[in-house]
Amino acid sequence: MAKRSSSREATKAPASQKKEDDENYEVTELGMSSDEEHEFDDQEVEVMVPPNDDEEDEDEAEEEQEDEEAESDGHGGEDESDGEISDDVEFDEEEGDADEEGEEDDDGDGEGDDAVDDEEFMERMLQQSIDEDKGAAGNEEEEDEEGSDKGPAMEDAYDSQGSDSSDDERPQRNTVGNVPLKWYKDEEHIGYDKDGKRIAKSEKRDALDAFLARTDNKKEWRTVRDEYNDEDVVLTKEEMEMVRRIRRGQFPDVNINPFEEYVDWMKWEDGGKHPLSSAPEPKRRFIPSKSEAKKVVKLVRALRRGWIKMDKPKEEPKTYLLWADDNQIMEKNANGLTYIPAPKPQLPGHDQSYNPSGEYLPTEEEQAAITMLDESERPKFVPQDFDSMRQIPSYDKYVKERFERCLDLYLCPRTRKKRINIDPESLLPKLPKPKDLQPFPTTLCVQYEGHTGPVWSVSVDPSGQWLATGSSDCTVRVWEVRTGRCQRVWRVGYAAKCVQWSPDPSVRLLAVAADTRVLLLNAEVGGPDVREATAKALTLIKRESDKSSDALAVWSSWEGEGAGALSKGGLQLQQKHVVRQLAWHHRGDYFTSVAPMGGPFAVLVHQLSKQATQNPFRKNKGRVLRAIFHPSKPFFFVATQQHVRVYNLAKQTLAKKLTASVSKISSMAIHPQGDNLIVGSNDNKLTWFDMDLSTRPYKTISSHAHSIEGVAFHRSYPLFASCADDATVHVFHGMVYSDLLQNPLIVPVKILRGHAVEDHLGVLDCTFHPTLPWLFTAGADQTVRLFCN
Amino acid sequence: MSNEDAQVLSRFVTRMPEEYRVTDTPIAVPSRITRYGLSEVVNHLLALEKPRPFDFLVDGELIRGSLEKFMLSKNVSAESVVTLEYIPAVAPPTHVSAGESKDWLSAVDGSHPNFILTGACDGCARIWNTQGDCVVDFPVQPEALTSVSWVPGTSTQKHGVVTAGKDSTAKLWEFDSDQNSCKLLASFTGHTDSIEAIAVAGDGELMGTASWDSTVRLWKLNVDDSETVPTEKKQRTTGGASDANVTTTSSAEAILEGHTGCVSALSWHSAEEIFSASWDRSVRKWDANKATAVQVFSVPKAIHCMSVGAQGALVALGGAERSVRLWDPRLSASTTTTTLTSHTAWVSAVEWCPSNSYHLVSASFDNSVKLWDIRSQVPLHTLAAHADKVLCVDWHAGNFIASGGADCKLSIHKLQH
Repeated sequence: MAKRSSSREATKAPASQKKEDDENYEVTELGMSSDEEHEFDDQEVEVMVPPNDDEEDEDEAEEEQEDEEAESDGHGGEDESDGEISDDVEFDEEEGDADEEGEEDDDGDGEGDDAVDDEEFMERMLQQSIDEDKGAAGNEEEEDEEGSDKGPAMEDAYDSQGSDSSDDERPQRNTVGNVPLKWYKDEEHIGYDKDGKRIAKSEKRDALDAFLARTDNKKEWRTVRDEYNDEDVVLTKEEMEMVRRIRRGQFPDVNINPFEEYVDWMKWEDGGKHPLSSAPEPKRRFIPSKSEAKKVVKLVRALRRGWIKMDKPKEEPKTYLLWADDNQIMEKNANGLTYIPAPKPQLPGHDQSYNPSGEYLPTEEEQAAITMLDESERPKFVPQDFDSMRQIPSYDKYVKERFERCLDLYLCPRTRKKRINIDPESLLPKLPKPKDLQPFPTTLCVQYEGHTGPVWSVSVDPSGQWLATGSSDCTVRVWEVRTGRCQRVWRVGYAAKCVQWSPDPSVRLLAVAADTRVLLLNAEVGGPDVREATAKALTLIKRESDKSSDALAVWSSWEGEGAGALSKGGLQLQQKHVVRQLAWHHRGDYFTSVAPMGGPFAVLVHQLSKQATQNPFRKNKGRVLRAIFHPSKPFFFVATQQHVRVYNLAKQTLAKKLTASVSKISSMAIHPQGDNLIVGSNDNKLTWFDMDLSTRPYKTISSHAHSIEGVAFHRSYPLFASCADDATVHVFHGMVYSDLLQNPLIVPVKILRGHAVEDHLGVLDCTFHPTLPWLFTAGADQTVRLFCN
Repeated sequence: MSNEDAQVLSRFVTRMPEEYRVTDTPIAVPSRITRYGLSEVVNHLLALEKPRPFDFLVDGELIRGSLEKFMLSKNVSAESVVTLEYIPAVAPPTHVSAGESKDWLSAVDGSHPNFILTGACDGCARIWNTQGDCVVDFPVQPEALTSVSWVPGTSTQKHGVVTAGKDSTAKLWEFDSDQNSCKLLASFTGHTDSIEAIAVAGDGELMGTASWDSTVRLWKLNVDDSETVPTEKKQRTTGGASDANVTTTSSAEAILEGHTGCVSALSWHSAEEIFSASWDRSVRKWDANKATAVQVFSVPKAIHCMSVGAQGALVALGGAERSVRLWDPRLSASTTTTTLTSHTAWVSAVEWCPSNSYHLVSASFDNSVKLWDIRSQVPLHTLAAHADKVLCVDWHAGNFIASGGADCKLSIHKLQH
């Protein structure tokens, strides 16, 4: 540091001679120390001071010195211009020349000025070696290459690196502050001292001085130039040692031992017997973890439910379909992707070759036929033959086809539709085939002809030998079932809307509803005993006090107006309202008549043996349309428009109320076992009630196209039928099981056609044969038909 | 076609008299030859003055259609010699006469060699001669007649007639062919419902009636000596026209109970055995002496009519179906042996030919009467004699077919043998 201060003093003097002396001295010093250096460090020889390099440098330096002189001539001009630019530094101009050269050095050592002095060379060497060894000291290089823009800061850094210990001791000579040195390039001072005097820059040494200094000054080799403070710094031996250590990659400080002994602070001397903390082991170390248990449960559940599969992952096939369609490949690869590739247009075949085989080419006739065709019918492509590809004309339909293809792709939405392939048949309940449910009526066998009006009612006598019909032609006829011969005819004067045989096998009498009258006719069939019993039953009982005004129905004898002497007549019940329906009690003594318009007198129950009439209901809820007796028990079914009320005749209470949920009940029939009821309605519905099950319909069958006119159960076979205004009769298999748990089995088995629709009326009534699976139907087309199995 | 000229070696045999026999040598005939061709061949061989049609049998079956077709269907080899038995063909029956009735003819019986007895739905029984002229018309009852029958084995002048009808009484009449009058001899009451069928045994002793009351009753006929009718209840009534005494018998000889439906047909096999058919779809064979059912046979449909063959060989059944069933009661298997299907409606009557055990005539509601040879499934001839349902048919005098129906006509056809 003493030397530095001395040199500083020397530089205070404007004379350059002294400076040169100093430099020379330093150079000599450098030369001496270089030897020393060589002695203690062989490695640096190559890098440090190749003598040849030095010579070359010198040569170059000489040449460049000339250049610099030439330039320095021009510098004066520049200075003037600078002075013009910046008035602030005007007063500095006097001393400007001295600093010029130094400034030059800062500017660009790339140009190779005489600044290739030893200081810089040393610097560069040092930096290079640092770079090479550590690769971490790029700051210096930047400093050198980019010049003095960052100069002060970098030099500070350098200073701090180079001599951090001396920083505190030595004050900065430069007082301009942290500004780019470039600003002071043309100035001769580098700040002001505390007295306000300028601190002059040290005189710039030329190459010769540098050389001399290098030769003279032994310390020159370890002298570095501090540009910021504009002084030369001779590094001490300690600093050199530090530089050397850095270059080796060692800690700069000698005192730092990088390989100190490792002290394991956490190692317990007693082998971990005693922990660091004396706290007792927490309880949770000893109880099973709940959160872990939960996790395990989750995993187990996932395993059980198959969310986690322990199977090996599926191996991706290493081969792929090379020639497969894109669609196939997409189906395999795209899992759940919604993208559906457009179908590819068909690849051209042999026929679309420019030179197809002869069989693809149309013959002349075909060609002629094609040209004869309409534009729209013509095939899209007609194979043509060309000798070479050169002769193929441009395809005239290209644009059109491309457009149509685009239009197809655009207009055809390609969406993935989730289609569930369920065979609709499998959804249907398994019903036995009708073939297995035989016998049931299938074919028309006998036609009973003779009526001249729609036949409203049909009834078979209990033996099955006779058939009675009532018609709008005001006749009631009895037919022999087998031959179809009309055996009896009665003219009843009004349309016979209902005809019912008495179920009593000991008599053969017919109940006929004709307008407001109910007639009980002796059919005059059967054996002599039967006839006698019938005649006896139909004998009018004379009574003294018959007040016709009070009576519900007036019983009187009726003289037949029948054709022939056979129809002798019977009894007549004169009622006040038009009787629409009759139904017998199963014993054949009581029968009921229904007059829908009768209001409170709609339902009357008549007793044949006493020839008496009673009204079971004081008031009827709604218009009564049908009424029937239970086949075995004392129940009475009364159908109003939408409900069927079941009355217990023994207890005289309402037992059940069945809701048919139809518009208007038109007919009703009860299963011979008495637990099931079918109801036909005007809105084409046939409703089956299982009265043990519910008061709601068990099944509703809407098979008819028009309103149902009549329904019937077979007495012994599991059959029931419905006839409707669409002139069809639907026959069903209706099996009722004695097991209460088993629901009735209802299978439609046959649609019987044959009747004709007349005046919107089709088949008006149907009834089964009592013993055989035969069905009698009465149609509005004036015929009665027998369908047999 | 290779079969164009295929030939079949055939040997022609016959059971006919000597003058109709041909050589035993097999003759090659084209396989496509039909019955007519075969008949021509035989006629050529016989060199008859007047050609005669023949029918040909192979293994007891009549050839219908070509020989080739027949052999194919029967799996007969065309290379072996086929033995063709030829029989005189049945010419189409010719319509002889038609008698007009006043009402539907429901029953006909032609078993008398000279007269045909019919019953009508108006309750009148009529006796016709073979020419279709009504000889006697006598009212039986106000109800429809369902069945009439001759009583066999009576004298040449006086013929017994039984009638039954819907009024559930059977009546025995005596027809005097000299005076052309009928006299009521006896009436049989007891049935509680209308009688559907009546049949008199071959010896004329017993009469059976089948009724809607599911019973068959057997009555003893004593035509010659009405005084000795062994009945407990005898009611004497005065006859309408004649002053002869009329016996009313109300107790039957036997009541055959077992059917559950209307017994619709009745037929004697012998003096001891009687068959009954019913709507309950069963046929029962009864022992008349013991009044018990010997055999029961069931069919799927209700039976309306039945005829038992001459030797009791086959029972022909017609009913509520379109076919005639043949049942052999000698077989233990209770299945019908053959079903003859050609009718298009219910079969109302069947009757075996008394002179030819192979021939059967059937009447149907399809207005037709069909003549069958049971050796073929195809009817021999179809007689379209009626304009309405045919209700009854019977053979008369061996080669006449008398049928009556809902068109009130008695139609008589003659069969050329």
